[in-house]
Amino acid sequence: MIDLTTLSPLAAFALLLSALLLWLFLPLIPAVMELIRPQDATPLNAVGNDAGRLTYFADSFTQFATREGLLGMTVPARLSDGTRVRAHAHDAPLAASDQPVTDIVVLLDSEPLPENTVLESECIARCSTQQSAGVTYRALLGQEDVLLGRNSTILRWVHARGRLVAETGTRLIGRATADDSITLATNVSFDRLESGVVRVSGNVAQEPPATATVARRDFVPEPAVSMGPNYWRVTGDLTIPAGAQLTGSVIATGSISVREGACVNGSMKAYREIRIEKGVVVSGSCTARGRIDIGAGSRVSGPVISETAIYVHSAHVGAAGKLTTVTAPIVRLLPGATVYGAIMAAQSGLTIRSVP
Amino acid sequence: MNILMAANIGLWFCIVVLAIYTVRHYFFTLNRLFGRHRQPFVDVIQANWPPLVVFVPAHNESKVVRDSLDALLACDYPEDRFTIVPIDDRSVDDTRAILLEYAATYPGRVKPFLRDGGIPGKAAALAEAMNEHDGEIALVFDADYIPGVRLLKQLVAPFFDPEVGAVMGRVVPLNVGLSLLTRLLDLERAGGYQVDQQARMNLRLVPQYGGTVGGVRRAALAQVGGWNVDSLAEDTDLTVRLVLNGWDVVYQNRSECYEEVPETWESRIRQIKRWAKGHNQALRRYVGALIRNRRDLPLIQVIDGVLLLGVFVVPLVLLLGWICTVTLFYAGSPPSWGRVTILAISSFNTVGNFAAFFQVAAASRLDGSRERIRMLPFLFLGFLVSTLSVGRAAMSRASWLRGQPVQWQKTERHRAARSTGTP
Repeated sequence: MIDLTTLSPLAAFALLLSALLLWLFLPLIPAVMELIRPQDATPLNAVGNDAGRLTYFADSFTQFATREGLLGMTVPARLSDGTRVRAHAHDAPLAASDQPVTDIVVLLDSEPLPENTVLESECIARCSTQQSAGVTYRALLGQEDVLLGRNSTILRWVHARGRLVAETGTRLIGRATADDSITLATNVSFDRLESGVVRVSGNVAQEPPATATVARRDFVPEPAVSMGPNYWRVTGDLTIPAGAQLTGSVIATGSISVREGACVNGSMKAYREIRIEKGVVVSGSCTARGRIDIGAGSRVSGPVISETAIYVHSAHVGAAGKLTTVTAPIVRLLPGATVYGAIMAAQSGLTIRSVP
Repeated sequence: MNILMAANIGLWFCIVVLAIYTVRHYFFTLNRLFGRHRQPFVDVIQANWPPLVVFVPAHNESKVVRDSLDALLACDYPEDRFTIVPIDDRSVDDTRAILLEYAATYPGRVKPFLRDGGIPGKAAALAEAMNEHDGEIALVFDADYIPGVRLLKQLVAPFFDPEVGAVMGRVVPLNVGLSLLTRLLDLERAGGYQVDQQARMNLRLVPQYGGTVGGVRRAALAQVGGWNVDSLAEDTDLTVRLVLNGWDVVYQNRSECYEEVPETWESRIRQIKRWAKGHNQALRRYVGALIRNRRDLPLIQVIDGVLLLGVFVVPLVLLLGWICTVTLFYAGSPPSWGRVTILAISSFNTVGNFAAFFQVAAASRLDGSRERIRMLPFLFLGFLVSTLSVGRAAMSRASWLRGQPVQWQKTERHRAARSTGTP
């Protein structure tokens, strides 16, 4: 032990100063080490390939399956990494079991899997298939049409090269995509859907035109602040009367109500709700902080964006060949709802029979 | 009023201002850590995409402009609705030849705008080039920026909301590991975008359009009077004018784009002095208008707008606080409400000083970065240099005078130039 009392004042000061500097340097030790030997000095992974492309996983798996020969004439018993592969066909079906199937499964023909089968690895359906009820898939790649039986579950993604049909009670967790179309029964939950057309089976209304086809009386919102030619900002609520036509874009700091048969040749934004009644045509987009209701027989051509919820009745969003997006934390689709493009429900998507 | 009273008032002014900014830092950070992440447009992946013009202002950018143009050409925006307009403003290197080479290789898609006269500077170049092109949406990228394949759609998506006047994406440093400075700038950028900008977006405040990796709606730009060609920070200037006129500015945290950050301290000091002068100029121009228009704007936006404009004055306030403290100490006069003052100052020292560090640490956590957080103590060095640079800039005449001629003030590039047209 050093007897501090025997130190000269200068030495004591030097000791104190050294201790202080050491104390100050302590928090810098990890920093200096990271500077000398960088462990984490690469740019952030800024450009995600999967963002904005719902078929990314399906496409990647297709490439993988092609490399491994899963899409060829014969099915290999194992993949190059040792993963086992099981074929399922009419003459060699998987046996019904309470145990989950951990191997990759290839469906060689249209023979359905046993009810309530749980597949913990990916599944490939080479032909059009109408599957049994209660099957759980980790991921399913259909080379043709895919029909998911009642109460099926998709845990990550499903992609059909043809049509995708989901019967009632199905849960589509993650991404569900199809090259041709997606048809959902009622009581189907979903997160993200994308196809040329997504519709809920039921009473489909006659497809409305993309633009107004009959003469309507012009409507200009008043009082309103002009934000440019045909561009208005309304303080409070706005009602566009039945049969009227608004040409331009409008922002309302309250709610917007578009009455039956009206037409908006532009886009709308509401700080609260947007309520679109029957037979309305909107050529642009609808954005709201609150809920958006799109009434039966209406058409919205542009994206529909809500920060709360969107209810699509027997209406059309987008058009054939002019795809668009419906996005909100909560999306509810009613029978006859038809969306051309993508539906993104960040919290909860569900097809329902009627609005509660 | 004697000098001691003035020092007392000055000291309390400084304490209040610094306390406000401290609370702001913590509020934003806590919002990002525990609040709702607001990104309503990020899932718009299909749409009838509007006509788009992408402007790339360039002044002596031959080292980097090829990478930027190649990345833009690879974007998945529909080709028939998308034009790239690189702007060469009197470059003396090979920039112009490179742009003409791209125009010949991609006719109709790359349409260079060449300037040899007029007011120099980015704002003036953009103003002239935009007069020649009519796309509904105009995006702007600096010549060293490298967008990802899907970035253009991501940046255009918010414009489907008719209230959106401008959009800003996130800037991510590409040359992170080159030096201490680039590593510190990587941390600063993370704090600025991942926490500060996104918190403003979450809270419906005033996210800032940053002049690059973003864009404007032509109708909104026209309504607010176009680009201010005498502005040192045309981005801040435009942000405030849009907000004053009822337009929204949107920040998209997932719309990330690589940039090259300064690699030398000289370059960094020049950059931050330029930003400080531009901000201070905008503060002088618009703080009064923001306060006068407080009835037309949400109060919270007015407050955030004023604090945003004043952010480069804070170092001066800090300096003033030090002067007042030293004056009172040597005058042998304790500050008024001595115990409260001492409590306020010590509170700032223990909490306020670390607000920015807390913000950066939170950003690193949100980014999923692990080891880079160990560099945090070195940020003190970066802040010290920034404070001194901002202080010097704030005392320059250009910070406060109106209508000064603007020159090109660009950041030095360090990337090795490519000699061929395609990678």
